[in-house]
Order: sequence, then structure tokens, then C-alpha cells
Amino acid sequence: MSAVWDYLFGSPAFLIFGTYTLMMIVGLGILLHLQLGVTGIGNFGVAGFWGAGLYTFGILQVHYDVGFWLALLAATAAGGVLGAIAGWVIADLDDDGVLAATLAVATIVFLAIESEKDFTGGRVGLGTIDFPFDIGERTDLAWLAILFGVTGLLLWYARRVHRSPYGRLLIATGTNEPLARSLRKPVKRTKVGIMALTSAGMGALGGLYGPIVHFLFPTQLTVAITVSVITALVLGGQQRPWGAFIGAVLTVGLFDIAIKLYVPLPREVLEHAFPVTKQIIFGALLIFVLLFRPLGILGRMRRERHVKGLSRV
Amino acid sequence: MDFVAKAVIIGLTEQAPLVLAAMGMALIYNLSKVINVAFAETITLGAYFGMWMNTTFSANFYVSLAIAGILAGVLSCATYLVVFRTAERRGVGTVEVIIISLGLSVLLRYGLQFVFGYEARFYDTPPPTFMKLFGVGFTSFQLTAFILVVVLALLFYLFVQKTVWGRQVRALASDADLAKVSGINPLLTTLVMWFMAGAAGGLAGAFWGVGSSAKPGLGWDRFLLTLLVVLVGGTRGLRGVILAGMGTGVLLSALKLEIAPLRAEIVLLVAFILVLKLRGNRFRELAKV
Repeated sequence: MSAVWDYLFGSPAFLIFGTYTLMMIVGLGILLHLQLGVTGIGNFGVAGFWGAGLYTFGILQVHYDVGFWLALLAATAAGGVLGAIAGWVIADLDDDGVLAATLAVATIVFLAIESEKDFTGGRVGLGTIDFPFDIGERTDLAWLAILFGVTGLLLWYARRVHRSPYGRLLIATGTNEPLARSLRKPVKRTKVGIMALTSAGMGALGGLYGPIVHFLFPTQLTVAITVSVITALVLGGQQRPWGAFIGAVLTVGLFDIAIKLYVPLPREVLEHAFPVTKQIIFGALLIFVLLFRPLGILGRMRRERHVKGLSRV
Repeated sequence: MDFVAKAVIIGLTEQAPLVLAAMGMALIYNLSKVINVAFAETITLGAYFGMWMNTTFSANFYVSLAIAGILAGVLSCATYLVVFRTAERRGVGTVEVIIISLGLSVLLRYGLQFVFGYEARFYDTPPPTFMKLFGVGFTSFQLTAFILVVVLALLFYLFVQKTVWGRQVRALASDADLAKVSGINPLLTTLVMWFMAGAAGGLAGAFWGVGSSAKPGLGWDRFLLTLLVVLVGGTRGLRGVILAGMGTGVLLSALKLEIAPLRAEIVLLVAFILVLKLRGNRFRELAKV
């Protein structure tokens, strides 16, 4: 029994960090599901909204000694304000414009972090950020439990949205915007609202990630984060709240936990070939899933399946 | 006057490849009506192909450049046939095609590292001579690159505007069904256009690569600016793309002369976003014809 336990959890710190990453991708994926899968907004700048929260939290904690809750609130607000601005910009743009604008937002956040060294530390980094509580060896496990709770809350909210009048408005906006407009639905306000709300969530997740890494670097905000989130969501099913969870377990869970923990790879492979192979597989997954199973593993929305079922009767 | 001269000379010599890259991306955007994120990797692979010819086969830079353009064009056609044509036939939506192209971009960017290695690679070219114009210094290589880019951009422009192939490409972009009825071979015309676009991207990548190095993120680092030039300048056709590309280069260098380079890039991006916002979708259809 002890041997099995050692095999499964032989490197608890590694396992916990891998699970942090997994939960972060799941949380961001659920929020992206509300943007892309429900409202039809292709946000390609997830890393930027997340990073805005991460760095706001870090700057307030490191430079101004602001308490945890206030810093987390500010991180949430930073993501929300950035999301509202992005939503205002993209509200009347087509998909190409949305791609450009959201990528531009992420790039601006990245450039601002690199350029404003007095606040962000630039490439040298910003730290250290500690957990808001200390219960000894179990602090990181408690933080993981909090992350599970936050992700669970996001999942619960996404499921609620699907069944609410607000969800119907979002779906109408995403499915047929001209029709929703002609029915006098407030499409523009809806887009700005959902971008602000979900980006605030991304900012909050960024704030919660700060204590995990302790030290912040601009390289943590590369496009790889966005690619991981999109891959997880697309693979699991972009129209389903559980899609991000299923997809993240099959991608991040496989690569960042299972293989790293249980497959004895040489160090040089882990440093170069492994992350490169992971990205190649993520890229290939995006292509194959969208070409041959566009709605991912879980398929279409429950609502649409229900309506389709009724129409057959 | 001194400031303007500096901004113009630095902007045009440093950002000349941007015009080529934007023209290539605009060609695909005009015909396929979708932004191809993997175009970033056509640029990157252009730089790698050039470096490969230059260092492995000891080809001189100009021969390497020509082969880099051809290989990037072939790669562009291959991506169309394997991925984008399949997506077109399966009726995949616009956002999904953009995500597919993002996937292809990631696949190529990391895949090339298994072929060319993880580290940046350098061209083997003789050291350039330094020159001055209006008190602004630049290398002989930058001048050559600028002249070549101007000539190539002109040739691309004339090809699209004045040749039979160019007319067929424009006809196909305007009304695919009508173009087919009038005897245009859509596959052949589309492949010619994807080849031209890939060659333009590859040449831009080779110019950027010889100026710095061939590295996996080369095209991605320049993708956003190229995309914004296409979206903003594309409303006025290829001429608009050329002007927007040159204007962007000059504006960026002017900003960099006044403020820190990273802040200059932020100001430029904010300006582009505001232009996109103010323009909205009013010129969207115009941009795609």
C-alpha cells in the first residue's frame, strides 16, 4: 500500500503544482466558454486579461503591502476594466477585428509589464508573493482546495447561465447577431457586459495564481497560456460548461501531471523536446478537432439537443 | 526636418519587410476572407529556409532569398490544400477557421524546432558597410533590403492589378460563382494566389532573419503588426496595404525617437485599436474585394 502511495504521490509538491496549473486552465476555459462557446466572441488574448490580474495583485502586494483581499479585488477589477474596454472595442467588429483587438490587448499588457520596470520588475521579475495564510506543510494543499472551490463556483455559474434568461440572450447574440439586433436585444451592451464579467474572472484567477508561483515574470504570460486554454475548451466541447474540464484533464492533466510525474524522461528531454512535443500535439488537436468534430468530445449544447429532439417528434 | 528625415529613413529601412509580409497576408485575406494566423510561420520558415540555403549549401544571400521565397510559397500552398481547403469544404465557420490557423501556427512553430534546432540560427553573410543619409546611419544591407522590398512590392502589385492571373484572383475574390461560370479554374487560381502570398511572407521573413536571426518566434512577434496593417490598410486594397505598412514603419520609428521603444509599440497598438474601433465594419466588404 505504501509503495502504491509513494508511486502515485511520490512527488507531492510536483503533483500539487501540476494540479494548480490544471485548475487554472479549467477556470480560464470555463470563462472562455462563456465568451466563445456561448456568446461567439473569439478571445485570443486570454493571457493578457489573466496577466493584468496577476500583475495588479503582485504590484499591490509587493510594492504597497496591500492586504490579500484588497489586492485580489483590485486584480479582479483590473481584468474587468480591461475586458470592458476590449468589449467596447470589439462590439461592432467582425471576427477578424476581434482577433486583432484581443491579441493587441494581450500584447499591450505584455509590453507594459516589460517596459514599466519600476513597478513590474520587467524581465528581472517581481516578488515575492506569499500565501495569505500559513498552516505549515499543508498550506499549498489548502490553497489547492481553494482553487478547486473557485473553479467549482465558476462551473456552477456557467451551468446557471445556460439555464437563465441572460444565458438565452448570450446564446442569441452568439448564434445570430443580426437577428438578435432586429429583435431589439441589447447586443452591444451584452457583449461589453460578458467581456467585462468574464475578464474580471480571468483577472481574479490571475490574482490567485500569484501566491503559487511567488515570483512573477513576463514570460509567464506568453501565448502558450491562451493556446492551452483554447485547446482544452475546443477538445472538451466549447459549447458545454464541462468542456474545459474534460479537455484540460486530457491535455494539461496528461502532459503536466501524468507524463511529467510518472514517465521517467531524461532531463534534457523534459527541458526541450517534451514542451515542444506538447505544443505540437496541442496545435494538431486544434486542427483535427475543429475539422472533424467541431463541437469537441461533449458535442452540442444541452438546449440544442433538447430542441432537436422535440423537432423530431 | 531632421526629425522627419530620421523617422522616414529609419522607418523605411527597418520596417520594409513589413510591407511585403502585409501584402502577402492581404492576398490571402482578399481571397479566402479569413485571417490566416499560420501566415506568421510562413514568415518564420522563410527566414529558416534562407538561413538553411545560405549556411548548409553556401548559397549567396540573393540565391538563398529566391529559394526561401519559392519554398515558403510551396509551404503556403501545402497548408491551403491540407488544412484550409478541407475546412472550406466542411463549411467550418470563420472563428473556427481562425482557431484552426492558430493550431497550424503552433504546430509549425514548434515542429520546425525539431528540424532546425531550438536555438536561434544566423545567416553567414559578409559584414555590411555603414552609410549615412541626412545624418542617419544605416547599413548597406538595410539599403539593399529596402530597394529589393520596393521592387518586389511593385512587382506583386503589378501582378495582382495588371496580369491575367491577378484579374482572375480578384474576380474569384469578388464573386466565386460568377468567376467559375466565366471559365476561371478556382483551384489553380487559388493556389497561384497562396503561392504568391507565401512567397511574399517567406521573403519578408528572410529579410528579417538576415537582419537579426532565424528563430521560432520571428513571425509570431511580427504577426500582430502585420495583421493590423492589413485590417487598416486593406480597406483601400493593395495600395492601402503598402501605404499603411510604410506609414506604420515611419510612425513607429518617429515614436521610438521620442519615447522608449516598448512604450512606442504600446502607443502604436493603441492607435491601431482606435482606428479599428472608429472604422468599425463600415469598410469590411470593401476590404475583402
